[in-house]
Amino acid sequence: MEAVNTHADHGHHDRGHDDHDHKPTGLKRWLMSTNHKDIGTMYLWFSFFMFIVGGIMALVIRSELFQPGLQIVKPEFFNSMTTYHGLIMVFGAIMPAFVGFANWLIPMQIGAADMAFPRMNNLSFWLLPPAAFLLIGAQFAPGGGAGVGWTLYAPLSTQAGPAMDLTIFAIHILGMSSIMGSINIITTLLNMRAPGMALMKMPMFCWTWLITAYLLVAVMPVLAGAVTMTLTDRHFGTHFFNAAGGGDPVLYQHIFWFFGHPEVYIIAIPAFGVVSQVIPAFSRKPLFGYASMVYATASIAILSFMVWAHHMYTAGMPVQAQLYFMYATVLIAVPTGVKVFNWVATMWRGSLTFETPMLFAIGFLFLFTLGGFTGLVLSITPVDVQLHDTYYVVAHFHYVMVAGALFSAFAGIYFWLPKWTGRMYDEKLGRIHFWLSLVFFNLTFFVQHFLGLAGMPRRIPDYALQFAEFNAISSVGAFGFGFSQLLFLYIVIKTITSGEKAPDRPWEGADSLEWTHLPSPAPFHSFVEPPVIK
Amino acid sequence: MIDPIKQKASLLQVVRMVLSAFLGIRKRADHDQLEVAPWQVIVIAIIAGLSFVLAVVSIVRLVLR
Repeated sequence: MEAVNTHADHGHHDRGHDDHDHKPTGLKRWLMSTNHKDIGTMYLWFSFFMFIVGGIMALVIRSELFQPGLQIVKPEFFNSMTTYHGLIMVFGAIMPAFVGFANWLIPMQIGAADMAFPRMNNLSFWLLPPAAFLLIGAQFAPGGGAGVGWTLYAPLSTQAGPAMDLTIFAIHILGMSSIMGSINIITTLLNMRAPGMALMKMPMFCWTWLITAYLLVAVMPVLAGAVTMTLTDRHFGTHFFNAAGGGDPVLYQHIFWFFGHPEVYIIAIPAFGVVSQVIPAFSRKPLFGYASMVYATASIAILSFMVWAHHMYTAGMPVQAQLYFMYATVLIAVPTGVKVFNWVATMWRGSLTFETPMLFAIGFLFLFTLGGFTGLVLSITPVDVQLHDTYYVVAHFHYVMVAGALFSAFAGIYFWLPKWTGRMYDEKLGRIHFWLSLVFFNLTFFVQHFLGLAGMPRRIPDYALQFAEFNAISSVGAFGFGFSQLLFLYIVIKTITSGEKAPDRPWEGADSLEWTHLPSPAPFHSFVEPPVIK
Repeated sequence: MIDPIKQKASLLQVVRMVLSAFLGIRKRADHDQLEVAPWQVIVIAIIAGLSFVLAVVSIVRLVLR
């Protein structure tokens, strides 16, 4: 325990006592944890582990695609890799990472002692390892992993081997975990704010999670319904998605994307929240248009329910529906554009410095906007008919998911690491991590736009000779990106074990409660008595 | 800071609020001066969402005529 900090923490005059009191030790501390900080830490480490697993799968894909022809893996295994890479990255890496942020930060940012339902919080986390076990274990099921794509489309999914059942069960468990986590977050944000912390005074990160949590509660049951129908089609004689029995495989696509499109925003909106904390801090200015940002986020969430079928223009739809979804999709770009404008306006004439979190936030801003624009290109029905299921789509959603969500998660980790661990990361190494990630990310995915425009289909282990050069470049980029993340792991471990001691408020522009009212590292129990916010 | 006495928002003001949310543009000052019940916003937002869909659908009909 370090010396008592002079930084006054209201209600925490003997912090040494708090730090030692009621702090369980050993395995019990983690297994039976009800502490939002410990659970947040577990979420973050879990998601990093899954990020590595999903990353290895990506490297299997890129190794096979380094040259045309089949060299390394069998096509069935390749299909299984594309499927589980997607599922693991979306449900195992990105979503838990942001729930980890939510657990760590929401109570501290609103001046609450913990989450509203600490035991449910524990359960939400501990449901994840069994789900991960099922997703990884599905590779070893008879017939190998299900090569159906992360979207689990029927009729492939109704005909796949036993791995599909493990996958469906994993999705059920992950959905339960997400719903419980969301209920916890909503209840915490609505009921446990410190006196004076009005909704419109909450940090943007809290707002984005409030909206995301509502989205999760709304759409996770839809996904659960879709995979349950797949399960009953497989085993219990129903024909929801079987045309021979009067069902319709396109019904699956509609149900899946009614979940799937809001899911994109479930991933993106907390990333917006992190960036909305980081950019003002390093611009030393308050967030430009805070109220606009709140309203834009809410409106993106609502509109996200009305555009799902733009993922299935080629599945067969009346032209009226195609036009409707095209127009609605183009319109959803407006509030997103407002957000990008606000981030840029926040930086405008600020006293900018470019520490690692800010670098990742700017990287996010630049590349996410690019990913948004390719999304607009794909929203135009006649263009999409050409580009559907090509590498252009793969490039588009990796710009949104990797350069959007993952870069923002990196920004957040570097930003809050001093608060979490009480130690500073190595700034020089952090910057190297950023530049390596930026360069290799673009090397991997920018060329995939060209591949897609030239007509290379996605989810194939072999391809025609004219695609060879860009695929080779992309594979080199992917390995570079993958190995750069080992540097990230090294930086985090180095910070925890031997980083310099961090001040309570290492970023002078950061002004939310965890920086202004709590020491670094944040004590095990914070805000036992709520602060008063003026 | 002295809390300004908040006015109850009229129906028109709530409608304006929801519509500005759809665009994503809103002044903080507008919010601070008005007291709005959550149910007002939710009801108006559902109606506005439906009208948005209907508006796009009618544009589609117009285009395809």
